[in-house]
Amino acid sequence: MTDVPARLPARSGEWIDRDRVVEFRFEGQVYRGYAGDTVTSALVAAGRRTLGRSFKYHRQRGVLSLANHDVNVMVDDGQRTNLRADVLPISAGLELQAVNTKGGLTGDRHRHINRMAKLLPVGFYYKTFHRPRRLFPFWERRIRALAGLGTIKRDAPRVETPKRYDFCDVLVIGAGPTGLSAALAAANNGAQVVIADENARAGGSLTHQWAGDAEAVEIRERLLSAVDAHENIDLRTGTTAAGYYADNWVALVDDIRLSKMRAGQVIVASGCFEQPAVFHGNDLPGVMLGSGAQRLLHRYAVRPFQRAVILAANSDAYRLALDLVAAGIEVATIADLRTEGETGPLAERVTAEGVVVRRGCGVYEAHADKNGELSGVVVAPVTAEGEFDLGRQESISCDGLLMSVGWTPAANLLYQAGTKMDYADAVQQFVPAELPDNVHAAGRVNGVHDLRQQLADGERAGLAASLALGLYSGEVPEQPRHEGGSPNHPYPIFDHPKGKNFVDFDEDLQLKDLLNACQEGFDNIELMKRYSTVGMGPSQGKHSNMNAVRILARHRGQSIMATGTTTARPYFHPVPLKLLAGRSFNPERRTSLHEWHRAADARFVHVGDWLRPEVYGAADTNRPLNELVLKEVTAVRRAVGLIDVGTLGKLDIRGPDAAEFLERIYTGRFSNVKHGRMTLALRCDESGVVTDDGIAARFAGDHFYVTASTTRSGAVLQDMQHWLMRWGLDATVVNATGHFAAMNLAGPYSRHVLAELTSADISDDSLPFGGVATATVAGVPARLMRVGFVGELGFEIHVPAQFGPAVWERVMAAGKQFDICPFGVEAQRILRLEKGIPIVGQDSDGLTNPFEMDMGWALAMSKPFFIGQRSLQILQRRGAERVLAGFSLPRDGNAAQVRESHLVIRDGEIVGRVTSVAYSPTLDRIIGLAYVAPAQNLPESTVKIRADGGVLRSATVERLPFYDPDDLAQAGVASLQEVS
Amino acid sequence: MTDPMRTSPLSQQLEGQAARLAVVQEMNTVVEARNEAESSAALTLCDASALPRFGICGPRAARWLTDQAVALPRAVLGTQALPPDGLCLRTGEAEFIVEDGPEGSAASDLARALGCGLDGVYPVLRQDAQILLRGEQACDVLAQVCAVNFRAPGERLVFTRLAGVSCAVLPPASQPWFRIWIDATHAVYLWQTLLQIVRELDGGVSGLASFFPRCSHRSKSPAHTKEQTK
Repeated sequence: MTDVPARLPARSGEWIDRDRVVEFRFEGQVYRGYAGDTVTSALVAAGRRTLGRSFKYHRQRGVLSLANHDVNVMVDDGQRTNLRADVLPISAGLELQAVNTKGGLTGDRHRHINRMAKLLPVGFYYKTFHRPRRLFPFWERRIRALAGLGTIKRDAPRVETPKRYDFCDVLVIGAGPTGLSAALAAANNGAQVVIADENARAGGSLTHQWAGDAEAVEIRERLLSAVDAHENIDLRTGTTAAGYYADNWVALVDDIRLSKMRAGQVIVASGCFEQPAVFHGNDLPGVMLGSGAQRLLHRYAVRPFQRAVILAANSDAYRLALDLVAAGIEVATIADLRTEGETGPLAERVTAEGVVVRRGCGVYEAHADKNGELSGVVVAPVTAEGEFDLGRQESISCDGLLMSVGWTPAANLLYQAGTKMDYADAVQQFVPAELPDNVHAAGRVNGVHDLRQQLADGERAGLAASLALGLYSGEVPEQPRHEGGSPNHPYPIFDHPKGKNFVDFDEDLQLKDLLNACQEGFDNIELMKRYSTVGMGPSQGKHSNMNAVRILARHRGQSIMATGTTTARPYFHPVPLKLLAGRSFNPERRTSLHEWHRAADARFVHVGDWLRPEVYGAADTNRPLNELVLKEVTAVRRAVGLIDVGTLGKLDIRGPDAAEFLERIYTGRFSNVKHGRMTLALRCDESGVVTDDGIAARFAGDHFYVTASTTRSGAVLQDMQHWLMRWGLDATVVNATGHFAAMNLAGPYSRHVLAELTSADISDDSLPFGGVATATVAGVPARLMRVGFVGELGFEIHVPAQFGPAVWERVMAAGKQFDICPFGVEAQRILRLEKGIPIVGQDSDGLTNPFEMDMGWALAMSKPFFIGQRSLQILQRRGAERVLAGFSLPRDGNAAQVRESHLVIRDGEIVGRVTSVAYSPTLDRIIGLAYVAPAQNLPESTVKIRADGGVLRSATVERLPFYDPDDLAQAGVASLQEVS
Repeated sequence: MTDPMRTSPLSQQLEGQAARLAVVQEMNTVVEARNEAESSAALTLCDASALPRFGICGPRAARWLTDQAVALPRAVLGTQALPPDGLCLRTGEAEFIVEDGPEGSAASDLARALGCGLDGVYPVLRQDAQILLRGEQACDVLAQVCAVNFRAPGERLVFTRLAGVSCAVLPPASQPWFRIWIDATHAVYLWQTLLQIVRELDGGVSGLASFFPRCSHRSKSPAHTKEQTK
C-alpha cells in the first residue's frame, strides 16, 4: 500500500471528496485516492512521477498539462484503451496498465530504443527498409508491432451509444470566466443557452489560476451561482465541443454520446492551451506546464514536488510562484526569459516571498536522477540572439520545473467555422480577425488575457449574440484591448548539442527533426507536418503546432503570419469510434406480404434495402436450396406460381400532359398507347446509357401507371419530379410504391386461378397479352396487367397494400387445386433467363446502351425529344462494340464452373463478360447471357469463357429466347399439362 | 366468402402485446396493450395504421373538397380537425389527405365520391402506416432519430426523416401526441427503432383506445376470440 505523502490539507474549491476513499490498481500496484481524483492526481499524490512511456523512444514521461492532453500518460483498463489518465476519474476496482510498454512501465523492454535515437531520425522509415524489397515484409511486421499506442480489445462488448440532435439559441463553448459571463449576458436577454465545457466542473481558469486573488474566487462563486440559478442556462460539464460544421452545427461529445447541437449563435470562449518551452530534457518526469501544477494544487490538493524552478516569460509565472509558495513548495528561482522581467505589484509580492528572480535567463538543460526523473536544472543567461551564455551557467537542484512561457488559442473550432485569423504582435498569438456570421469569440482565444477584461469580453459576446437573435436592441460594447506585456514568448525554443529538446511529446519529435525536415525541402507548414508528423499525434498539436510554426518561420526568415498554420479539421480532439458510430440505422423495407413469406419459411435476400423471398421452404435442411429453386421453376412452367413483386417502383402519372411527360422521360412512344394497354418504359440517361426499365400502363387518357425496377424506383421518382418542374408540364407524379401490394400470378393455370376470384372478363379477347384493366379481385379493387416477364401466361395483380395479405391468401387458396406454388426471386431469375429477358443492372452496367442489349426496337428515334436521344443517335451511327448474347454450356464433363462476371476471351483479349448464368431445369442445360463481340453473336458458334481456376471453357452461342421462341406460353395458347 | 380485412404492417410487431383486440375500420387492431401505462405523461408508442386515409391531388382538388363540405387548412403543411377525431392535412399546394378517426367514414365517402378521378382532381391511394408517440420524453425519442427541433412550438406538418426514412410528423397541437405517418414498407423498421429507444427510456406500447377512447367499445376480433379460447 502506497502512502499519500503529497496530499495537501483540505482547501477551498478542491474537486475531491475526502470522505470517500477509492482504491484502484495501476501496473499491478494498489493505490488509494479520493473520489473526484483523476488517475494522474491520485498517482502523483501517492508519490509517483513517472506515469507513462513516450511513443517512439519509450522515454519516461509524467504530468504535462493535466488538461486532457497528456498523451504520454494513457492507460488501458482491460476493455478500453488509450484512456487519458490526466482526466480519467478513479473508481473502485479499476485495473490499469500504461499503454505502449513491453513488460510494464518500469521494466519496459523497449526503453532501449531511446539509446538508438540517433539512428532513428524523423522519416527514417521512409528511406530505409524498402531495399531489398524481399525484406520489406519482415521490417513492416516489426515496425507495425512497435508502432501505435494501446491495443484494440476485440472481445470488448458492444455498447450502443445513441447520438442525439440538440438545439439552443446560444451555444457557449467554455465555462471559464469568459464563457460564464457570455452565457449570463445572453440568458438575461431571454436566450436559451447551453454551455459546454470538457472539464468535470465549470469555472475554467478560475478553478486553478487565482494565485491568492480573493476577488477571483468571489467572481467564480458569483458566476457559478448565477449560472446555476438561471433557468435559461443548461451547463454541460464533461462535454467537449469537438467539431464545427456548417450553419452552427457543433458536435458535443460526452462520456456516453455525441450530440449534434444546432445553435443559433455560437460563442467560442475556449481559452488557450499553455505551451511548453523547448530545451534539453524538457520531457523528464517532473517538468510540467505551470497550469498543470496549478491544477494539481487547487483541484486535487496535490503537491507534486518539494523544490521548484520556474521558467518564465509572462505574468502567469509569477502568479504560479505565489501558488507554489502558498502550498509550501520552495521556489528555488524564477528564470525569466524576458530581459526586463516582471514589474509591478505581482513581482513585488513574489520578491517579498523571498523568491529569487533571474531576469534574462533560461533553462539550458534539465537533469535526471538515477530513476530517470528530474533532479536539477542548469540555468544561464540568454542573449538577444537566443543563445545561452554558458560561462555564467548555474546548476540548481529541484524536483519540479514549471514552464510558464506562453499560450496558444484553442481556436480550432473558429478555424473550422471559417474564421480569418491574424497574428497579433501585442500578444504574440493568433486572434480572430474576421468571424463568420453568428459566431463570436471572447476571452483568451480572442487575445484577452486579463480576468476583468475576460468578463467584459464575455458579456460583449453575449450581448452581440442576443442582438443577432433579435433579443437585444441596445449597444454592444467594444472589445477590450490587451494591456501590458505579451503573455507569450515569441521563441521559447533552444537548441542543445545533445538534442532531446522535444517539440512534440506525442511523436517524440525534437528540434533537430523539424530543422532536418526544413533542410530536406519540407519547408511549408503542411509539408513539414506530413513529413515529420508534428501535430499528428493524439493531442493533435495542441502543444506542438505553435512551436513548429515558430521554428519554421525562423528557419525561413519570415513572419508567423506568412508561415501560417495547418488546417484544423473536425474532430480536433479524439472521439471514441463508438460515439461516432452511435446507434445503427439500417433502413429496411418489407412488403405487406412479408409475414406470409416468413410463415412459409422463406429465405430472404436483400435487394437494395428491400427484403425479398429468395426461395421458400428453406428450413427443410434435407433439400438443397437449388432443388427448392428448381421445384419453383418447374411449378411455374407446368402449373402456376405466385411471386411478390410489391418491391417494384410504382408511379401514378396523371394530368393532361402525362403522355407528353412520358414521351420525354422514356425512349418509347406513349401518346399512341391505347387505354387498357401497356408498353415497355425504357429509360436512358443523357449519355444514352440504360438506367431503368419497367412498364407503363394506360388506364385513362390522363392516367399512366408506371413501374420501375426495385432498386431504382427512388432515383426514377426523384428524376421525374425534377424534370416535371423543369418542363412545367401539367401533370403530377405520385409515388405509389408502398401503397400497392403487387403479385405476379404466372403459369399455364394462372387464368384459371384468377377467374376464381374475379368476375371481370380476363379472357384473351378482353385482356390480351399487354392489356391492363381495373377489376375486383377477392373483393378488393385491383389493377390487372397481362405480363410475361417469366415467359408464361401471367397476371400482375396490384391491390391496396393493406389488403395485400388477404388477397394473396385467397389467391393461394384458389390456386391450391392447381398445385400453386409461391416462388422467390431466384426462381424468377431463372425463368426470365430462359426467356432471354435481360435485367437492367444485372445484364447491363454503367456504360451499356440499348443497342448493346438488342433493345433498339424500344427507341422511338423519330420523336422530337427524349432524354438521351442525341447520344443514342451518335451511338446508332457508330454501331455497337459489344452485344448481349445467349449461350449454353455443352455437357463436356468440364468441372470448371462459369459464373457471373467471368470474362469472354477472344484471341487472348477480353471482349465481354458473363452477366447471368444458371442451370435451366426446363431446358436441362446451363444457359446464360454474356457480352460478346458483335461478330461472335452467331448462333451455333463458339465463344471462350475464362471459368473457375482460369480454365477456358467453350460455350455455344444461342438464339434468344432459349424458351418458347414463338411466345405461345405467355400468350396462353400452349397446351396445359395435368396437375396432381 | 367473408369480406377481406385490412392488415396493419405492424400487426406482427404487436403480436403478444395485446390485452384487447378489436376491429377498427376493417382492421384488427390492438386497442389495449398489456402493461399499458395509465398516465398520459408516460412514454408510449401506438400503432394507428387502422385510421383510414383518403388522398387527393390536382389543380382542382381544393375546390372539389370544398364542394364536398370538407374544411381545408389554408396553409401548406397546415391541418384542420374534422370532428370527432378526423383530420385534414394539406401536404402541398394542391395535395390533401383526409384521415378518419376510429369511427369516421369521411375517407371512404370521399373515395367513393371521386371514383377514379375527374378533370384536375385525382385520387391518391394512401396506405401509410401511422405511429403515435406520446409522453413527456417524446421529444427525447425524436431527438435521437431526427434533426428537426420538435421542442420548438409548431403545429404544422413536418416532412423529415426519422432514423433515415422519410416521414411526415405532426407535432402535438389539438391532440397531445406526435402523429408519424410513414410508408408502410418502412413501418416495421421504424417501429422497431423507435420502440428500442422508447424502452431504453422506460416507455412501452399502448393500444389505440388509449389515444382514441371511442374505439374502446368495438367488438373483439376473431383473432382475439381465438386467443381467448386457447
